[in-house]
Amino acid sequence: MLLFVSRRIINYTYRISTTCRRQVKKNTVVGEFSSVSMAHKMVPSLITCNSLLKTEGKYYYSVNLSADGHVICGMNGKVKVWDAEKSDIKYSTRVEGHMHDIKENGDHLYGALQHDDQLTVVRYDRQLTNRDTVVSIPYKTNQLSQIDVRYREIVVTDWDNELIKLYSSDGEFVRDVQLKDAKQPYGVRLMKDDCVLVSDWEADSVTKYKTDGSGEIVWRCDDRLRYPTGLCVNEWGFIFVSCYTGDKIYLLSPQGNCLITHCQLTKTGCVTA
Amino acid sequence: MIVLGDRLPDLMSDELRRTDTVYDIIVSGSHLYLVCGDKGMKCFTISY
Repeated sequence: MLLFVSRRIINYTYRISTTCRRQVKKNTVVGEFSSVSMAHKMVPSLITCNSLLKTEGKYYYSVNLSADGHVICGMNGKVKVWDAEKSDIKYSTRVEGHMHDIKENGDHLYGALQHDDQLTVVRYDRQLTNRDTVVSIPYKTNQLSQIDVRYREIVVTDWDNELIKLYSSDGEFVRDVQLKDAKQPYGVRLMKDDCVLVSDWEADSVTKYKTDGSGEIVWRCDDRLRYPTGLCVNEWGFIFVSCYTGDKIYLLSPQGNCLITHCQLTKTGCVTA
Repeated sequence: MIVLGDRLPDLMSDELRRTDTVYDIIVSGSHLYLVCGDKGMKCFTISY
Protein backbone atom coordinates (compact mmCIF):
# COMPACT_ATOMS: atom_id res chain seq x y z
CA MET A 1 0.00 0.00 0.00
CA LEU A 2 2.77 2.39 0.94
CA LEU A 3 4.62 1.53 -2.27
CA PHE A 4 1.45 2.19 -4.34
CA VAL A 5 0.92 5.63 -2.75
CA SER A 6 4.58 6.55 -3.28
CA ARG A 7 4.36 5.65 -6.99
CA ARG A 8 1.18 7.76 -7.38
CA ILE A 9 2.92 10.73 -5.75
CA ILE A 10 5.99 10.31 -7.97
CA ASN A 11 3.85 10.02 -11.12
CA TYR A 12 1.82 13.07 -10.18
CA THR A 13 4.96 15.11 -9.47
CA TYR A 14 6.46 14.01 -12.79
CA ARG A 15 3.32 15.04 -14.70
CA ILE A 16 3.33 18.49 -13.07
CA SER A 17 7.02 19.08 -13.77
CA THR A 18 6.63 17.88 -17.38
CA THR A 19 3.67 20.20 -17.90
CA CYS A 20 5.66 23.11 -16.48
CA ARG A 21 8.65 22.36 -18.71
CA ARG A 22 6.39 22.19 -21.77
CA GLN A 23 4.79 25.47 -20.78
CA VAL A 24 8.17 27.15 -20.37
CA LYS A 25 9.34 25.77 -23.70
CA LYS A 26 6.15 26.90 -25.41
CA ASN A 27 6.49 30.41 -23.99
CA THR A 28 10.12 30.52 -25.01
CA VAL A 29 9.44 29.63 -28.61
CA VAL A 30 6.12 31.31 -29.20
CA GLY A 31 6.41 34.27 -26.87
CA GLU A 32 8.71 37.24 -26.77
CA PHE A 33 11.85 35.19 -27.42
CA SER A 34 10.86 34.61 -31.02
CA SER A 35 11.60 38.27 -31.73
CA VAL A 36 14.92 37.99 -29.91
CA SER A 37 16.00 34.99 -31.99
CA MET A 38 14.90 36.83 -35.12
CA ALA A 39 16.91 39.84 -34.06
CA HIS A 40 19.94 37.62 -33.38
CA LYS A 41 19.86 36.52 -37.01
CA MET A 42 19.96 40.16 -38.06
CA VAL A 43 23.05 41.05 -36.06
CA PRO A 44 26.24 40.82 -38.14
CA SER A 45 29.00 38.77 -36.51
CA LEU A 46 31.72 39.79 -38.93
CA ILE A 47 32.05 42.67 -41.35
CA THR A 48 35.00 42.77 -43.71
CA CYS A 49 35.81 45.27 -46.43
CA ASN A 50 36.33 43.53 -49.74
CA SER A 51 36.15 46.19 -52.40
CA LEU A 52 36.26 49.89 -52.95
CA LEU A 53 34.93 52.19 -55.62
CA LYS A 54 36.81 55.45 -55.74
CA THR A 55 37.48 58.17 -58.27
CA GLU A 56 40.08 60.80 -57.45
CA GLY A 57 38.59 64.24 -57.04
CA LYS A 58 35.06 62.91 -56.65
CA TYR A 59 32.95 63.13 -53.53
CA TYR A 60 30.51 60.29 -52.94
CA TYR A 61 27.09 61.04 -51.43
CA SER A 62 24.72 58.16 -52.00
CA VAL A 63 24.39 54.50 -52.84
CA ASN A 64 21.52 52.33 -53.94
CA LEU A 65 20.92 49.00 -55.61
CA SER A 66 19.08 48.42 -58.84
CA ALA A 67 16.72 45.50 -59.36
CA ASP A 68 19.35 43.75 -61.47
CA GLY A 69 21.88 43.96 -58.64
CA HIS A 70 23.98 46.89 -59.82
CA VAL A 71 25.21 49.56 -57.45
CA ILE A 72 24.13 53.14 -58.23
CA CYS A 73 26.35 55.90 -56.88
CA GLY A 74 25.65 59.62 -56.70
CA MET A 75 28.61 61.99 -56.34
CA ASN A 76 29.73 65.47 -57.24
CA GLY A 77 29.70 65.89 -60.99
CA LYS A 78 28.84 62.29 -61.77
CA VAL A 79 26.45 59.35 -61.51
CA LYS A 80 27.76 55.82 -61.87
CA VAL A 81 26.16 52.41 -62.17
CA TRP A 82 28.65 49.81 -60.98
CA ASP A 83 28.70 46.06 -61.47
CA ALA A 84 30.02 44.99 -58.07
CA GLU A 85 30.58 41.36 -59.13
CA LYS A 86 32.93 42.33 -61.96
CA SER A 87 34.13 45.60 -60.39
CA ASP A 88 33.19 47.22 -63.64
CA ILE A 89 31.47 50.53 -64.43
CA LYS A 90 28.33 49.74 -66.43
CA TYR A 91 27.07 53.27 -67.04
CA SER A 92 28.26 56.72 -66.14
CA THR A 93 27.17 60.27 -66.83
CA ARG A 94 28.31 63.76 -65.91
CA VAL A 95 26.13 66.20 -63.97
CA GLU A 96 26.48 69.83 -62.99
CA GLY A 97 26.37 69.94 -59.22
CA HIS A 98 26.14 67.35 -56.47
CA MET A 99 24.02 64.22 -56.85
CA HIS A 100 23.00 63.84 -53.22
CA ASP A 101 20.86 60.79 -53.73
CA ILE A 102 19.67 58.49 -56.48
CA LYS A 103 16.97 55.82 -56.32
CA GLU A 104 15.47 53.34 -58.73
CA ASN A 105 11.75 53.24 -59.47
CA GLY A 106 10.48 50.97 -62.23
CA ASP A 107 12.47 51.65 -65.39
CA HIS A 108 13.85 54.96 -64.15
CA LEU A 109 16.45 56.34 -61.80
CA TYR A 110 15.46 59.43 -59.81
CA GLY A 111 18.21 61.71 -58.52
CA ALA A 112 18.37 64.64 -56.10
CA LEU A 113 20.75 67.05 -57.81
CA GLN A 114 21.87 70.11 -55.88
CA HIS A 115 23.36 73.01 -57.81
CA ASP A 116 23.77 76.52 -56.40
CA ASP A 117 20.65 77.27 -54.33
CA GLN A 118 18.40 74.79 -56.04
CA LEU A 119 17.59 71.12 -55.68
CA THR A 120 16.37 69.44 -58.84
CA VAL A 121 14.77 66.03 -58.96
CA VAL A 122 15.95 64.50 -62.23
CA ARG A 123 14.91 61.29 -63.94
CA TYR A 124 17.15 58.99 -66.00
CA ASP A 125 16.62 55.83 -67.94
CA ARG A 126 18.57 52.78 -66.72
CA GLN A 127 21.48 53.43 -69.09
CA LEU A 128 21.77 57.07 -67.95
CA THR A 129 21.46 58.23 -71.56
CA ASN A 130 18.32 60.37 -71.25
CA ARG A 131 17.50 62.83 -68.50
CA ASP A 132 14.55 65.06 -67.76
CA THR A 133 13.69 67.39 -64.89
CA VAL A 134 10.85 66.27 -62.64
CA VAL A 135 10.74 69.19 -60.21
CA SER A 136 12.95 72.07 -59.06
CA ILE A 137 12.97 73.23 -55.44
CA PRO A 138 14.62 76.52 -54.37
CA TYR A 139 16.75 76.19 -51.23
CA LYS A 140 17.88 78.85 -48.80
CA THR A 141 21.16 77.09 -48.10
CA ASN A 142 23.34 74.42 -49.66
CA GLN A 143 21.64 71.73 -47.67
CA LEU A 144 21.98 68.01 -48.21
CA SER A 145 18.83 66.16 -49.14
CA GLN A 146 17.95 62.56 -49.77
CA ILE A 147 14.99 61.38 -51.77
CA ASP A 148 13.01 58.19 -52.02
CA VAL A 149 10.67 57.05 -54.74
CA ARG A 150 8.03 54.38 -54.42
CA TYR A 151 5.56 53.61 -57.19
CA ARG A 152 4.08 57.02 -58.04
CA GLU A 153 5.34 58.95 -55.03
CA ILE A 154 8.52 60.97 -54.46
CA VAL A 155 9.64 62.27 -51.07
CA VAL A 156 12.42 64.83 -50.50
CA THR A 157 13.82 66.02 -47.17
CA ASP A 158 14.12 69.76 -46.54
CA TRP A 159 16.19 70.60 -43.49
CA ASP A 160 15.84 74.37 -43.86
CA ASN A 161 12.15 74.05 -43.08
CA GLU A 162 12.17 70.79 -41.06
CA LEU A 163 9.76 69.09 -43.41
CA ILE A 164 9.44 66.54 -46.18
CA LYS A 165 8.02 67.35 -49.59
CA LEU A 166 5.83 64.85 -51.38
CA TYR A 167 5.41 64.81 -55.16
CA SER A 168 3.96 62.44 -57.69
CA SER A 169 6.53 60.59 -59.80
CA ASP A 170 5.74 63.09 -62.59
CA GLY A 171 6.61 66.04 -60.37
CA GLU A 172 3.15 67.19 -59.35
CA PHE A 173 3.23 68.68 -55.86
CA VAL A 174 1.20 66.64 -53.37
CA ARG A 175 1.91 68.13 -49.94
CA ASP A 176 4.47 69.27 -47.40
CA VAL A 177 4.60 67.36 -44.15
CA GLN A 178 5.97 69.37 -41.22
CA LEU A 179 8.06 67.02 -39.09
CA LYS A 180 7.45 67.38 -35.37
CA ASP A 181 10.57 67.99 -33.28
CA ALA A 182 12.82 67.76 -36.34
CA LYS A 183 16.02 69.82 -36.65
CA GLN A 184 17.88 68.69 -39.77
CA PRO A 185 16.08 65.83 -41.52
CA TYR A 186 18.36 64.10 -43.99
CA GLY A 187 17.88 60.40 -44.82
CA VAL A 188 14.44 59.26 -45.92
CA ARG A 189 12.64 56.02 -46.79
CA LEU A 190 9.06 55.60 -47.88
CA MET A 191 7.35 52.67 -46.16
CA LYS A 192 4.49 50.44 -47.26
CA ASP A 193 2.11 51.64 -44.55
CA ASP A 194 1.80 55.30 -45.69
CA CYS A 195 4.63 56.23 -43.39
CA VAL A 196 8.14 57.51 -43.88
CA LEU A 197 11.39 56.94 -41.99
CA VAL A 198 13.49 60.06 -41.50
CA SER A 199 16.98 60.34 -40.01
CA ASP A 200 17.85 63.63 -38.33
CA TRP A 201 21.55 64.15 -37.72
CA GLU A 202 21.07 67.29 -35.64
CA ALA A 203 18.39 65.74 -33.42
CA ASP A 204 20.29 62.40 -33.26
CA SER A 205 17.18 60.43 -34.08
CA VAL A 206 15.39 58.20 -36.55
CA THR A 207 11.66 58.81 -36.63
CA LYS A 208 8.75 57.13 -38.34
CA TYR A 209 6.14 59.68 -39.42
CA LYS A 210 2.76 59.40 -41.05
CA THR A 211 2.71 60.99 -44.50
CA ASP A 212 -0.95 62.02 -44.36
CA GLY A 213 -0.10 65.65 -43.66
CA SER A 214 -0.43 65.47 -39.89
CA GLY A 215 3.26 64.78 -39.40
CA GLU A 216 2.23 62.49 -36.56
CA ILE A 217 5.05 60.48 -35.03
CA VAL A 218 4.54 56.70 -35.05
CA TRP A 219 7.77 56.09 -33.14
CA ARG A 220 11.07 57.81 -32.53
CA CYS A 221 14.42 56.23 -31.71
CA ASP A 222 17.04 58.49 -30.16
CA ASP A 223 18.54 55.80 -28.00
CA ARG A 224 22.34 56.01 -28.43
CA LEU A 225 22.05 57.43 -31.94
CA ARG A 226 24.66 60.02 -32.90
CA TYR A 227 24.67 61.85 -36.25
CA PRO A 228 22.52 59.34 -38.16
CA THR A 229 22.69 59.81 -41.93
CA GLY A 230 21.52 57.27 -44.50
CA LEU A 231 19.15 54.44 -43.70
CA CYS A 232 17.85 51.33 -45.41
CA VAL A 233 15.35 48.62 -44.60
CA ASN A 234 16.01 44.94 -45.25
CA GLU A 235 13.46 42.33 -46.29
CA TRP A 236 12.47 41.62 -42.66
CA GLY A 237 11.87 45.27 -41.85
CA PHE A 238 15.03 45.79 -39.81
CA ILE A 239 16.57 49.22 -40.28
CA PHE A 240 20.29 49.82 -40.84
CA VAL A 241 21.46 53.37 -40.13
CA SER A 242 24.84 54.85 -41.01
CA CYS A 243 26.58 57.41 -38.85
CA TYR A 244 28.20 60.60 -40.14
CA THR A 245 31.38 60.04 -38.11
CA GLY A 246 31.75 56.59 -39.65
CA ASP A 247 32.57 54.59 -36.55
CA LYS A 248 29.12 53.16 -35.99
CA ILE A 249 26.37 51.27 -37.74
CA TYR A 250 23.04 51.14 -35.99
CA LEU A 251 20.50 48.39 -36.32
CA LEU A 252 16.91 49.19 -35.37
CA SER A 253 13.99 46.83 -35.02
CA PRO A 254 10.88 47.48 -37.16
CA GLN A 255 9.34 49.01 -34.03
CA GLY A 256 12.19 51.49 -33.63
CA ASN A 257 14.24 49.88 -30.87
CA CYS A 258 17.98 50.24 -31.17
CA LEU A 259 19.28 46.67 -31.25
CA ILE A 260 22.98 47.15 -31.69
CA THR A 261 25.56 49.82 -32.12
CA HIS A 262 29.12 49.07 -33.10
CA CYS A 263 30.97 51.59 -31.05
CA GLN A 264 34.17 50.18 -29.53
CA LEU A 265 36.42 49.14 -32.37
CA THR A 266 39.84 47.78 -31.40
CA LYS A 267 43.04 47.48 -33.40
CA THR A 268 42.42 43.79 -34.02
CA GLY A 269 39.04 44.52 -35.51
CA CYS A 270 37.16 43.16 -32.51
CA VAL A 271 34.29 45.24 -31.36
CA THR A 272 32.22 45.05 -28.23
CA ALA A 273 29.04 46.91 -28.81
CA MET B 1 13.13 46.79 -25.23
CA ILE B 2 15.66 44.38 -26.71
CA VAL B 3 19.26 45.51 -26.37
CA LEU B 4 21.44 42.90 -27.98
CA GLY B 5 24.37 45.24 -28.39
CA ASP B 6 25.04 45.24 -24.69
CA ARG B 7 26.08 41.62 -24.61
CA LEU B 8 27.03 40.48 -28.08
CA PRO B 9 30.68 40.81 -29.03
CA ASP B 10 31.08 41.44 -32.73
CA LEU B 11 33.93 41.48 -35.17
CA MET B 12 34.52 44.17 -37.69
CA SER B 13 37.32 45.04 -40.03
CA ASP B 14 39.66 47.88 -39.19
CA GLU B 15 38.65 49.28 -42.55
CA LEU B 16 35.37 50.45 -41.14
CA ARG B 17 37.11 52.11 -38.22
CA ARG B 18 39.22 54.13 -40.64
CA THR B 19 36.11 55.20 -42.50
CA ASP B 20 34.81 58.62 -41.68
CA THR B 21 32.11 60.94 -42.98
CA VAL B 22 29.55 58.35 -44.02
CA TYR B 23 26.53 59.67 -45.90
CA ASP B 24 24.61 56.62 -46.94
CA ILE B 25 24.19 52.89 -46.40
CA ILE B 26 22.57 50.04 -48.24
CA VAL B 27 22.35 46.40 -47.20
CA SER B 28 21.52 43.56 -49.53
CA GLY B 29 21.88 39.98 -48.36
CA SER B 30 25.47 39.56 -47.23
CA HIS B 31 26.67 42.84 -48.69
CA LEU B 32 26.80 46.21 -47.02
CA TYR B 33 27.78 49.37 -48.87
CA LEU B 34 28.87 52.59 -47.21
CA VAL B 35 29.30 55.92 -48.97
CA CYS B 36 32.27 57.76 -47.50
CA GLY B 37 32.62 61.14 -49.18
CA ASP B 38 36.10 61.58 -50.69
CA LYS B 39 37.07 58.05 -49.58
CA GLY B 40 34.67 56.63 -52.17
CA MET B 41 32.23 53.80 -51.65
CA LYS B 42 33.19 50.73 -49.66
CA CYS B 43 31.64 47.31 -50.01
CA PHE B 44 31.62 45.05 -46.96
CA THR B 45 30.72 41.41 -46.56
CA ILE B 46 28.53 40.55 -43.60
CA SER B 47 28.51 37.20 -41.85
CA TYR B 48 25.59 36.38 -39.62
